[in-house]
Amino acid sequence: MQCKLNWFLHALGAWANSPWVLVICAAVIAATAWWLGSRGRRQACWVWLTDEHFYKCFGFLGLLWPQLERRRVWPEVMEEAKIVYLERLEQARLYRGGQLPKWWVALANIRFLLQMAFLVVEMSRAIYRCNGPGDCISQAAPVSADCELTRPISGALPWSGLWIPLSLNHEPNWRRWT
Amino acid sequence: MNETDKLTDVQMLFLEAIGADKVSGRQLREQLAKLGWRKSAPVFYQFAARLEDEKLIKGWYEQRTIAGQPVRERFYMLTAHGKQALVKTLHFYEERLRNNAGFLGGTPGYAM
Repeated sequence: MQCKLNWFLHALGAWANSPWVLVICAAVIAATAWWLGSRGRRQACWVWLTDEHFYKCFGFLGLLWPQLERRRVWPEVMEEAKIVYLERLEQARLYRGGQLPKWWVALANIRFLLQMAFLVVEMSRAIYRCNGPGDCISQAAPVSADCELTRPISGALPWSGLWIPLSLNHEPNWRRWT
Repeated sequence: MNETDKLTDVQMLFLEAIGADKVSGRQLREQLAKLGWRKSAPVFYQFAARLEDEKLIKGWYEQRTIAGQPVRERFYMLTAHGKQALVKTLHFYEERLRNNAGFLGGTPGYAM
């Protein structure tokens, strides 16, 4: 019997030893408790997620980079994302001939949310990196060999784009890179 | 030719894609993707902002209504300085092609 259960015990031990599994278990337990704990909160969440004006909540993200690029990039990106979102909504409404079901709007909003997350990371990368030789032209920072580098400044890792703005406060010569 | 007048390949592509008429940021991004420069919206608008700083292009917003909601769409157009820079750069490379000393192993005036 013991031999028959060995594979199971090994598997269990392997799973229990990996921290990410514990984190996922904790997240599942927390989500279940949250789900069962409050019906009102769940309904509020659903109302928020199925709101057709959901796209209006993300303008504040531009404030994360207020001084460095004079807030120009985010409004333009947001306007394009809004146009795509609203056009998609309009097309679906025309196709269905009227009101859209709530689940459809919820899916569109989740998609929009994920796209915003992607765009935030991309904007951070766009601001603090040069795209190619000579792409960082400006009077203050003329075309130079520095601009040919495509790595982020301050020794940050590629996936840590969001932390670069914070570390920039300690970068005395960041203008050279933009 | 002044050093700062020369454009990079991406800058040239960008100015060329805008063309003679005004074009929306979204259309321009699609056009550039077709030409082989496929970038996300933040990279694209960042790049456009830097070209605007250099007065090579002009950008402005136009109001539209979609699904009953007002939205502002960004449009771009070449400036006179941008046209001049593009033409100058094209001439510069054309001259290099015509008058090269056969450094790639061919005779001067090779065709790529």
